[in-house]
Amino acid sequence: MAELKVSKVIISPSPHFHANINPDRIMNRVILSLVPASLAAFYFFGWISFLKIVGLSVASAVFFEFIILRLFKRKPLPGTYSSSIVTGLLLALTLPPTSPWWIPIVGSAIAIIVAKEFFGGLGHNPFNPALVGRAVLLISWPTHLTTFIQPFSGITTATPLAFFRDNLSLPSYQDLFLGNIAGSLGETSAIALIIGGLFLLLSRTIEWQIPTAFLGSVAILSLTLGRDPVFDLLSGGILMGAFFMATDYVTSPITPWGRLLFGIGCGLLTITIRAFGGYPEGVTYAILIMNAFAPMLEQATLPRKFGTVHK
Amino acid sequence: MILEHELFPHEFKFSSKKPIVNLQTPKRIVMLMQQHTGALAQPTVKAGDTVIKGQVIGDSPGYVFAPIHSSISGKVKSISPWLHPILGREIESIIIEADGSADEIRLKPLNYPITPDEIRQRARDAGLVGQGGAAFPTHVKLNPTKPIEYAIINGAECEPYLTVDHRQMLENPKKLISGLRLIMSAVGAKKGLIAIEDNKKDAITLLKVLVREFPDIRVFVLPSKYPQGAEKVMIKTIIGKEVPRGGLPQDVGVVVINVSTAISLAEAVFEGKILTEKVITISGDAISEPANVKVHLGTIVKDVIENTVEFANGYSRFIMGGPMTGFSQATLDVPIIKGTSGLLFLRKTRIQETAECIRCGRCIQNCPLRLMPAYITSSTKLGEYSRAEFYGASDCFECGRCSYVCPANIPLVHYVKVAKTELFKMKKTGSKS
Repeated sequence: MAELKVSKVIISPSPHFHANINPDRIMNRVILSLVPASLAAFYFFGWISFLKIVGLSVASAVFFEFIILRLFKRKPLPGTYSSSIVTGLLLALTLPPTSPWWIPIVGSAIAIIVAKEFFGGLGHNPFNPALVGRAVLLISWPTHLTTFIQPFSGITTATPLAFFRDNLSLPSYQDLFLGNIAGSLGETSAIALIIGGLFLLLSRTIEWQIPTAFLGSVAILSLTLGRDPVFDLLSGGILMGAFFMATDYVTSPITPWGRLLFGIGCGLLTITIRAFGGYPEGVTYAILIMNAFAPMLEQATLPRKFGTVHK
Repeated sequence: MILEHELFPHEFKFSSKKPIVNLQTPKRIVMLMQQHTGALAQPTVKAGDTVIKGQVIGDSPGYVFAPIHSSISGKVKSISPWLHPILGREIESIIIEADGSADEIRLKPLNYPITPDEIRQRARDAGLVGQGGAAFPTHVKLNPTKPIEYAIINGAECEPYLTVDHRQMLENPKKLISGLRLIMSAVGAKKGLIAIEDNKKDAITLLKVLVREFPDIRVFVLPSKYPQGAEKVMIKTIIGKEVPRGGLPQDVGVVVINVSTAISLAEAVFEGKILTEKVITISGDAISEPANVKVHLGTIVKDVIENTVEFANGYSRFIMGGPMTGFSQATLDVPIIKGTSGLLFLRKTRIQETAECIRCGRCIQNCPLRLMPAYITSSTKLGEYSRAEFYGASDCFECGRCSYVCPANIPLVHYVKVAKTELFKMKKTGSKS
């Protein structure tokens, strides 16, 4: 018998196999899924605003993560930095193309430092960091956050949602679909967001419950209130919210039924805010409010254990 | 990348075409006094005694018990503690050295008509236990307290690498069917099923032909899906009923027996053979020639692999059992026991770092019992074991799917085991956390 070359024997608990998956790979898929929306932003609003907002937002998110981990003496676990990139990217794509340079930096700081690391870092934050960043910016600098421009021409205008609220004439479905409208950097092109969302669904990175429930409840409530459901679905941040924000693992329920209810809540709140609230858009607040309900929804929807006998 | 929830793109069944090879009689054996679920055996021999192959050397008056027999003829060298490969601690063992004699004790072969009691008595006398891993005494399984409709042979073998049941079905199909008929008459089942995963086409074809003469026996083809071989999952697939929580398959009118066990039962009844040998798979990516071998119980692993195994490279992990539920070992000085199904030598050394739970929910989607592995783990970490129980810790049969798919590489099954151990202690002392 050949001499055994045993350098180191590893003892581990079962299973001794592992699927080739880790947090970084998941986050990389999310980044990849945001490429179409980023390209659309680049195309419609030009490379200057793109680089300024996306570049500064992502870079500062990673920078703040690095600083705070040092400060708190925390070890960067797998997925920490790639999730910061996702947060920075998501925040940037929800900002107006004309935002001043410091807006993405302040937003990233709030997202990473306050919303994420103050609560314990990756896996522990109750609220979606990118949305917290955006909400704080929206409250603090409403003018900067609600000044929009027309693609290509750069003429300042309101978003289609504001037109709708004020009963002005609306852009065509085709423009809404392609993204040739005023709006946040990465939210205007429905087709780009749908491509990214489908990629996440088909790669099983996200499950179907949240996007389906979110979009479905938007359509139904919109129809019930006599609004135009196609317009509601394609305008504003609903697609971005349904595919990329509400599906954030950490801040949504982990049970299948919990996810369904969570998605329904997001959709109903969004249209409620749009129809009756002071803001023309409600996705940010709808998801943040539902984030708070996530633990409760989870406990209320624990799966029925195999072999539970009903009496 | 697409559809990552389908487990195992490869099943690594390298040895499925390798016939079972009989290994020569070992020079010494170590018989652990705990080889099954149930009472501990008491040695019935002492150092210096001469024993014959098939002689009872460990016995107990307990009901949930199967006697332990010597697998070789020779002399008892000593009775001393030896490391148990699954319990992970030393327990009393009988160490026997071979004297080269070919003597063997056999029971008197039986012929039909055979009563259910005779079958059960024979199962106990031959030391039969479930050879799939849990090692539950067979005679207890054959004595259900509820009416049984189906007797099912578990030929799923859903663990990667392992090919024992597959080879046994191909090489001993007639014994398997007569074993099933014995089981059916022992438990009073009207229908017999041989359940096989659809990745074992040759076994399915062969058995389908052979069962034609028995109208009450059928081959049931299962989808290949881990953990299809777990009793509860298999019963759900076949009869659509869920075994109640904390209950047994007999609660839904089913008895499930492993392939090798059924074959051993047929051999015990019709040939009077005592369980002294068993078939195991030797495989893994550190081995150049995977094999299926018949070994004597109690053979030390080091002696098994000598002359049979060629290492392509050094190995970094040695696992007893399958890669999903097996136990990794620090040493090759552990004996083969009745529940051993395979020896795996794996090379892969890269170990993924453990991260924080990112609450992706994959463990929940993948749990065949719809438990909450993530929350069992977080509760266990906090020492809140009754909370872990609320999320289903005791229900878990440790198939390992949750840990397998966890992106953060959290050893979820390990925490379930910790919770179970602590809950057991709490129950014993009657305290509450």
